[in-house]
Amino acid sequence: MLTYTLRRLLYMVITLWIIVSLTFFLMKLLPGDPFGEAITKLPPESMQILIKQYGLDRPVWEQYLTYMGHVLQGDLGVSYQYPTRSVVNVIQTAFPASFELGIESLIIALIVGLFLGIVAALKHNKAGDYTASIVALIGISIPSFVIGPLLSYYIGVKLRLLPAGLWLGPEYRILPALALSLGTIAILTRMMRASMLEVMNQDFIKTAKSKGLSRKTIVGKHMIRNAILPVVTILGPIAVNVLTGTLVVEKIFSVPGLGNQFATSVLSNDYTLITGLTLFYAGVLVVVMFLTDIAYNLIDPRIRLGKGK
Amino acid sequence: MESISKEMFQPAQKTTNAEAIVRPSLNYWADAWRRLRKNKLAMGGLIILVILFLLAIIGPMLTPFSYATQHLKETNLAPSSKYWLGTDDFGRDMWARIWWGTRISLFIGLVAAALDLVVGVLYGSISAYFGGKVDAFMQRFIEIIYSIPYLLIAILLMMVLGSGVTSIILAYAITGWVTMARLVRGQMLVLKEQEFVLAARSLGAKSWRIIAKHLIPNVLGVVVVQITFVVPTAIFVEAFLSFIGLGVKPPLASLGNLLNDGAGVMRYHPHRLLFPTVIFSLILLSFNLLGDGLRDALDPKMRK
Amino acid sequence: MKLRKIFSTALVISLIGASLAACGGKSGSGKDELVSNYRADPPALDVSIAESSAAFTLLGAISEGLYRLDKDMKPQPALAADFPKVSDDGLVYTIKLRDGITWSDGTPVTANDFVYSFQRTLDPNTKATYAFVVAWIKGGEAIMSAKDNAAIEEAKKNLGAKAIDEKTLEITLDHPVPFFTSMLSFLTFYPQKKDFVDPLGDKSGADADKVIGAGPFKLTKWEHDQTLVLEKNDKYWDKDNVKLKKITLNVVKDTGTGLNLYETGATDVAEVKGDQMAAYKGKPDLQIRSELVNGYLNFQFKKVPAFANKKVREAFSMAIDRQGLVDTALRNGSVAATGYVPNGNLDGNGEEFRKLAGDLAPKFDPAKAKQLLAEGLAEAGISSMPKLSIIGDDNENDKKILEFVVSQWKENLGVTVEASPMPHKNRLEKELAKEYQIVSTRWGADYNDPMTWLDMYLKGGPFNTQDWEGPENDKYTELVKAASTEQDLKKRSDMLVEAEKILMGEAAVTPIYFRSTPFVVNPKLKDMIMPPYGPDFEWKWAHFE
Repeated sequence: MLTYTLRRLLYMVITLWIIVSLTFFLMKLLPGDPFGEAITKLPPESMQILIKQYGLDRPVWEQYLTYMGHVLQGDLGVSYQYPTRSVVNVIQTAFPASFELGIESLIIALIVGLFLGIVAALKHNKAGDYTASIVALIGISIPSFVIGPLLSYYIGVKLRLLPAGLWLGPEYRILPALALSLGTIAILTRMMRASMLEVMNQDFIKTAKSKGLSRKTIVGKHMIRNAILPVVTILGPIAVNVLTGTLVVEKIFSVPGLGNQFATSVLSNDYTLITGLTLFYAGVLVVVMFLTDIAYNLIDPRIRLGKGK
Repeated sequence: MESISKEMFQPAQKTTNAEAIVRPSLNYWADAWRRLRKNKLAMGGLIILVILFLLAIIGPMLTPFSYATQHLKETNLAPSSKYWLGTDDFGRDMWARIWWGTRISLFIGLVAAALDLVVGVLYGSISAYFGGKVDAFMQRFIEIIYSIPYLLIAILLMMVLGSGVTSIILAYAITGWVTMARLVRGQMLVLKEQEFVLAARSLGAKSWRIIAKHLIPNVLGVVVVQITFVVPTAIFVEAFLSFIGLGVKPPLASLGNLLNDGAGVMRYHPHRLLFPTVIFSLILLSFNLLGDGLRDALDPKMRK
Repeated sequence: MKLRKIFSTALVISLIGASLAACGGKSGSGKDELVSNYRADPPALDVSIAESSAAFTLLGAISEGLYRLDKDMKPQPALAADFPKVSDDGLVYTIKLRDGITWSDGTPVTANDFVYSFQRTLDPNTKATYAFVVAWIKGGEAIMSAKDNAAIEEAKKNLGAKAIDEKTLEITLDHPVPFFTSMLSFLTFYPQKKDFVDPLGDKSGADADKVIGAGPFKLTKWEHDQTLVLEKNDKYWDKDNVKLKKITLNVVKDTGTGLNLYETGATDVAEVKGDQMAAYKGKPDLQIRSELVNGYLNFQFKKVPAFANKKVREAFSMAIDRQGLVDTALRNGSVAATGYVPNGNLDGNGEEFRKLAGDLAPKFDPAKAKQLLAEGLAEAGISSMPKLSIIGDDNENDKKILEFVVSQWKENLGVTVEASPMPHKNRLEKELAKEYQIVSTRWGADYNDPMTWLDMYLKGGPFNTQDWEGPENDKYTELVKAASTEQDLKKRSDMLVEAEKILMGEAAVTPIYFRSTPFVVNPKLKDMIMPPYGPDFEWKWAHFE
């Protein structure tokens, strides 16, 4: 277990290193310098100072080494868009909202998704199954940038049930979290359904049945408990799903989070901010994947990875 | 204890029809098809897909209007007998645009899937067949690629390459093949230990021949199922990039940017959101249903 | 059921929330708090560095200059006690400061605060985009081009801005600037408090507690990318005329959401576009801000030899239905361009430039355009147009412009041009490097004078990216240069009108629209000014009925 964990840790570091390098060189390939509007009006002297300050006059490999050095020290540079704010500062300000939104949508998704998945499996090949499956499929067939405005307009403006946007009190959380959770609900429903079906055919369920245990106990104590286990493995893909979702949902509902920042910085070519946010996102994901892997190994005694083939 | 007598060993009666075939002999694919046909949802998906493919090809030809021609006096019209699905803000025919968009989106999905197929299957096969150090190295590489969030890389890549169909496909393909490679490898690891491979090897077949002629045909089932999931994912990625502002170049349409434009004006011109959404959802829904059906049909455990 | 419980709780919470929001929203008379959407989080709120309209808007509310523009765009004394005394040669401005003016922390504003501000802006280390306007002051250029810190400090001593005493500021210009009094109301000429700004270094203007001004409001809260709160400054010299107690700005990037918020009463001001604007047509909510911004096309004379021919350029210009463009593609209140200097821009002599110069844009005429193209190509000895492409920004409006003109040329001239949208920065860089065939671009006035427009196309100038040369350009260059030193304002105005006539007559640039931005505004909100350049909103006099 320890060697496995250490090995995974090493890969994680290599992955992060590759991502850092990849983003750095992709950014270098981008046409144009990052100063934009300023080049039209700024005197050449100030321009020189800017170029020096950002180290753009040095050879690329030197810039790369400096950049790596800074990243290791947790310094992701200064946003070009907001020259007074460091990328780390932008992330610190924006992360809490995204994190909260992500967690809330995940809670909704877990409740609804697992529920639908269980219903679908218990009513296998009956109306309940089809209904749950279709609901799940619709969740992955309609993009959140269509769902978002629909929710904002119909629930926010037409019905006046919830705020149409912004991020102020607790009631402002519901619509964006809902919009963000739909895709995840779909993934979870399908996963849970498949997992339940697998468990239902296992021998220990038959044993439980023959022992005369009530259906409630069988479903609750035996089926669901065992079926939930593999769901842990898709935490990685779910994290990706939630993350990309935030790019869309945060913009639509004016949530001051990372996704909103990312979308804006793409549009305004804020290279340092894009690089920094990509690294941060990637870092979060890689760590989530790592933890999922380790957790799964700890939970499930049947899986013993890292002990040869 | 009963003694064994000679009478117990009578020669069997020679039946004349011992070689007769009770059930029609079906190869792998025919058998899968037989089971797939029984799955109503999957067949529904397949039929819808065939119709959508046909419409994507012939749809734009059915109307006299081109997807790019602007009619400035006839903007944002609701569906009518002249413009079957209405017009957009430049007075362009939505029927033509939607089917063009479907064509572009399907094209992106299929080419991405094809790239996925080639790279993923080759990579997975090589890794599994050679095993040992080669496999170990190739797997480490995959693990690393797998944990790179592809959408972020796609966005960076789109910014470098500029928007356009090619960039979208490349952006997806650059990390998309990993899942395919993993699946193929998993299957092959099992297959390569089987006797028919040993037989081929002892007959002197070369590695590439064994991979191409014996192993790959046997993993096609998994591959086909995976493809039915790759296509919709790629289409979704395109739609997402359109939202970020990195979609196809105007005046070309894709379902992604039709959806995005439509979402912006849904309050005033619902037809501009409704029709693209229906087509988009149908494509995704059908591919997923078909994929689920295929998985069941090709899964040996489900055989009856 | 767990699920049902959660949903019903959520519903109750939301209903309470909605009713509370409704109460706080449009509560009618006596309201003194304004809630507004704002399209972006402003970058640094620093008087020297500010270049975006977001920074201009916020700093316009937080700080105060010698003069402030009223609703007619006329400068009115603010920190200055009266209009400046100007020497006969138009070079020396002497300004007395008003008594009792203080920063929002209560310390007095002195003439030295202005001198410090000008010096800081001109210092190359500050990297101020608008340093070039302050460099009109004598000795300004010397600071901007000083090579090292010692030279910069030396040059600062020779700047033609002096505090005669605490209350008297004397500014000596490098050359006469007829609209300089009006220019003193431009943000870059506002004072800065040295012992507040200096210790902040690079962080000046980064947060609510890192910005100070002597204006009608002070910034009390700034949650980045979410909310900015301005509250009335009780130390403001003219506080009796400031009616709003509080302004809350919510950063909203999507106009659809913005309008939803407006319609649910969560905001008093929202930017709209296209259909959203059309839906409000004829209602009192709709207000259109017409800007000193011109959207135009440039044809590169050297990359495409055919564009060196005047008739070819005229053909391409005449083939564009400008009215159609503003009616279908833009739909934001913008109007078809009738010249290069946009509507509302003054002539430097108190009159509107456009009214003097008249309509100089070619009329939309596909038949004539086709004929001109054929003639032009024959003149130039070219058999057909090469494969063409047009570059432009990739935001929603600019993409639509590309789609529109490309379709117009295809239809009306039979010429195929490929649209190539790209990020703003890439477009700008390609444009300035002259790496384009056709570019769709934009220019906004830096100050309210025709010179901000017409000095762009001087021979060899950095914005003459289309490479307009030849005898007509020589004549144009001569006129504009002469006008820049002309003392007689009437004569200067005539010369500039003449110059624009040459520019348009040669079809050297192809203006297509003068930009506007539509807003929906709570009809009870009065006297909020939406100036045509600089800030988006002027709140000093705003109040609810």
